[in-house]
Amino acid sequence: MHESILVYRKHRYLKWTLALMGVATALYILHSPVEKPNGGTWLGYTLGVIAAGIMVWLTWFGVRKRSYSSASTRLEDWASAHVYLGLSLIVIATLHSGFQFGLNIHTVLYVLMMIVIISGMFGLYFYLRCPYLIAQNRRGMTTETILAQIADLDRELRSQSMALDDETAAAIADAVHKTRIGGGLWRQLAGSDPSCPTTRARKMVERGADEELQDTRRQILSRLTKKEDLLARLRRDIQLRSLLQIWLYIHVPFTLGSLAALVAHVVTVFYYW
Amino acid sequence: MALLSDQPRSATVRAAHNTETICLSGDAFKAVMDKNANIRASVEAKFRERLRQNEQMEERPEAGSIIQFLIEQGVGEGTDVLLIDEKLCIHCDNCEKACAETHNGLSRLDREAGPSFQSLHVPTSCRHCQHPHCMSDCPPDAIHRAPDGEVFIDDSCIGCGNCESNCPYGVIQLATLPDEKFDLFGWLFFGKGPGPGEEDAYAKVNGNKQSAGGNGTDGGDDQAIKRAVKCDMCKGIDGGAACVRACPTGAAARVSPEKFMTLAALR
Amino acid sequence: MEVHVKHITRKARGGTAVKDETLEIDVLTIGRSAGSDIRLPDPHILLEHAEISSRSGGFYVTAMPNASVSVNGELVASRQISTDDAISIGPYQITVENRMGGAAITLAVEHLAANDDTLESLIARTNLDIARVGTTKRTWSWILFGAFLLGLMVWPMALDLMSPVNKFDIVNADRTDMTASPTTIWTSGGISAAHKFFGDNCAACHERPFVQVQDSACLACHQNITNHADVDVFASASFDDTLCQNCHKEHQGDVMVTRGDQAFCVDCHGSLTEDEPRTALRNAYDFGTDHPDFHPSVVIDASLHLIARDVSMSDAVPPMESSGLTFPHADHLRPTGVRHPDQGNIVLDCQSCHIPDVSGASFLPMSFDNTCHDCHRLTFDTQLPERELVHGKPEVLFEQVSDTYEAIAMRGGYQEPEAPALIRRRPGTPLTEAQKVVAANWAEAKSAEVLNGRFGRGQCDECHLVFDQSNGGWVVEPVHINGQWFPKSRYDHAPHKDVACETCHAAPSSELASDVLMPSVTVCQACHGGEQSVDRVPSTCVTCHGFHFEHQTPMRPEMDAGIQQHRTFSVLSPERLPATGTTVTMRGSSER
Repeated sequence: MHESILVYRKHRYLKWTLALMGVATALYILHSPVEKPNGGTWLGYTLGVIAAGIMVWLTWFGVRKRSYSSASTRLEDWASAHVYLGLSLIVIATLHSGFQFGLNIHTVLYVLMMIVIISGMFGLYFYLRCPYLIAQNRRGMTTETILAQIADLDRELRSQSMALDDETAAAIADAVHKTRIGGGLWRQLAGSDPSCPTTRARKMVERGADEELQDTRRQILSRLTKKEDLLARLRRDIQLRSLLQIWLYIHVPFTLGSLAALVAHVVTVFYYW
Repeated sequence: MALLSDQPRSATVRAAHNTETICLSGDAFKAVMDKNANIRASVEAKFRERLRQNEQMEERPEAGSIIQFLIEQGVGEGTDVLLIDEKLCIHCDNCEKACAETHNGLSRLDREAGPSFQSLHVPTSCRHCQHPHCMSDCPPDAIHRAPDGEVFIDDSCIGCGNCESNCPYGVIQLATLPDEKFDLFGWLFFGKGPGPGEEDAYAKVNGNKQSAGGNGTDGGDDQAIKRAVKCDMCKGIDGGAACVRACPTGAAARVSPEKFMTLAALR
Repeated sequence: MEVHVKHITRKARGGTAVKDETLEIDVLTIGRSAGSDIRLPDPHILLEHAEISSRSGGFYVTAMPNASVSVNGELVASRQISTDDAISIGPYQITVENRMGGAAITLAVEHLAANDDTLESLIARTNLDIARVGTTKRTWSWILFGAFLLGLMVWPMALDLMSPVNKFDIVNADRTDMTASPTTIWTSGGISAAHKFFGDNCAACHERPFVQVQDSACLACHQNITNHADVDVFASASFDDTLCQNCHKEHQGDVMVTRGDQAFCVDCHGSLTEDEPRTALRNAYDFGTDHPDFHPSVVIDASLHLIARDVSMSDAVPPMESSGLTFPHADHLRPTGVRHPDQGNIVLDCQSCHIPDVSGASFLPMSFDNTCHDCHRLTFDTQLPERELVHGKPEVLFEQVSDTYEAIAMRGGYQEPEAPALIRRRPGTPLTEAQKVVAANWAEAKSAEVLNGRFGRGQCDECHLVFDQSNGGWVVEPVHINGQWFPKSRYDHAPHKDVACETCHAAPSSELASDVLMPSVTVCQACHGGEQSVDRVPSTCVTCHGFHFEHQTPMRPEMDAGIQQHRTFSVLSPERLPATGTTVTMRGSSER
């Protein structure tokens, strides 16, 4: 019913990919061209055409993912095959190269492709790991609930802080008005805020020894602690969800980069035939 | 079970929705079975299957609580429910986008909203109840059940909002249709126009999503005529529900109540 | 002073509520504390935030330490206020409405941000989505796509197409000024060592874009490249439809660009006798297991320089070499040694006569002077130990000997006891005319005796074939020493220099000059196997054989009309040899 893309359809695409890699490897071992094995032998051309086809097909995933009316297959078929065929490129493209590397555009293409594949491996790991962590971390709450809860706490903190001394009140005002959740790329990926005004305010309230307002302080402290917990949860949530996306900022641009290098590779090989 | 085993009835049955029950006497039942070997064989096969299932359930008591949870969410009275496995869901919202793009830019699904239990998430989406609450008070009689079981609203909707308030699960919305159609390549290459499932029209329906403090669903254009929209199980679209087809990780699945046992056993 | 305070509250559904109070105080305090005259309950505001006082007929607002107060938008520490001034403290605005008399002031206090915006402002400070951090995948995708397409393809290609197109002339190019093409980043692999010196100049071989490297590029240097076989006879040996680069793969790194694989040759030569019935060659599949025995070219008539090709080396009919020499290797290689005129008995080895050339691949040409003369001194008269016969010039031999004896006869003093007294007379004694005739006759007779005797004919006969002629003269068969036993293969002695010569050449037991001392293929096969051999030295066809056979016609005659005429190679079968050879008669003999 719910199947991960790795085990989808009883590893159908893993089997296909293993078969493809097996055939390619066997042919490579049996193949003994006149020259050193490279992309110019009949096997080299064959593997090159297959690898280029796979690359273009893998890139097409970005279009297929958004072609919502495509009824032929489930997107999970594509995703599962995307993962396995993408990994198969490590074998196919390396055999296509005949293990010849150098300071040239062909190796540039190989490096770009490997960047895409490795970023994809990270992505796959995040896709398999983060959803569980997100669910654990949220405990059934949505981001809206968490935000609304924080806003409620803020409102209460603001009214309760009226009675406190200026310094503490200002700290709490900062906690209410200046606490930022998420933000820039690094802040999102960090999953925490070392200079969080709420933490500062909590520490200040903890230090205070105002006898008369002991009760108020205790209430404020418990609210600040609660808010801190919610903030940590939300920041962790942001971190995990940004991990689900950040790899794509490497994966997608480098996919297009390697597509350009692929065009250059194919054109120049025939330019100097 | 008791009909065949001659034991006192041990199962507790709780109805998930309005149910008609009949009383069978063991002797009469056996008499019928003795007359027809085919019926006997099939009943006995069912009997063994039940025994096996019961044993499975006894080994994993937590599976029972999953069923309990699903029943509480009204999934029991549904015929076809969207369930999301939180262990697989990558929050890409492709299900919502697919829903919007197959339904004139309006998603009938809110993935994030809705309760979760043991990593099983019930998003806000129509359960296609056996006895739909929405159908009960529709002035133009616009809500129907298609032969395949899906409950849908036809074009005669007058936008009265009765169904919206009658639905206990909040899956019906009143919305106007968006103006601009999503242009895949224009958006993909140049960022032209709204992205899939994006932009104003979508925000009109889910206006409260980004601004929880705002005043709800009437953020849209007051002049336009609103229609009630809900999941129609992608009726008339090849390949089945778009939300499930568009899920890249296999987190979304449509499940009918008969499969709950399997579902619970698998978890 | 008298202060009227109006607390204005705006209602959500429009309209305002106003609460008035009048205070009679000296200093009006404003702050968050409950004891303030004007209490502003907001966390932004200090407990004691500001105060308003009356001095010398004017009203002044003063901010407390650390508090921020602005009047008409300007941050102030203390300032006089007058009608319509707006004092901002946190979210509150206090408007000075008018001055009633000298000591009274009316202040309207209003909370501007009356609505609770806690959540909105929280959301405004929140960014949950990485898509909203200001960078998009689309932008970076375009950048990388464009960068790599331009940098790797378009830019080098544009530079290449814009650069002046001229055929790179390897022969005449100024090698000190060879610049690398911008397109060298396209190289698919290293250039072979032989082509490295122009390898950076892509256009040297890649003459036109999108066209395979043509033969003209190769023939610019390799002008004399010849065919594999006679293409007029063997159609399958024609490679007219094949480009040089189909076999010679460049950009494979620092290796030879020639083909070395056995399969390439065996493709034809494995079944050549069936496919090309006119061939004289035998089929060959693999050197180790299936290679015909060697068939050397053998000199069969030295005087005619006739060479028989493709001679069988079978034991039944051993090949006969007719070099014109009667040279027994065994005699020279006797373990007991041979007599040297000066050094007594010496033992010879192969290197005594066969001196390797500089490369070690082969041996210096043998000649009488260099090789034989050290032992074989051509002295002809014990009385004249310094005089030797001229070697190899039979036409001057008679003159040389007769001149010698004529001079002796004229001079006298000849010590040989059997000579007439006239000749043995004291040297320098003058002769009469009659005596001169006697002396000349003696000289002629003595010359003939020497030449036809042990020191003349006998001495030639030691090494050469000497034939008597009907006129009483004799001739020395001309010598033709075989220079190339296997003209279609090459053999390098250098790598084999540590192997004893007799391992391959059975010289020590060779009693006949006609013995062909070339080894059989089985001798080679003792160490060498085929390409895939695991227990022998793997050797392919090209280890010994070349592809472009130097005696053939040019491979691409239409492209290099100016190249030198090809050399022809005489092919004679043994049956077509003439029965006898022509002879050269010595002048001395004919005069007799």
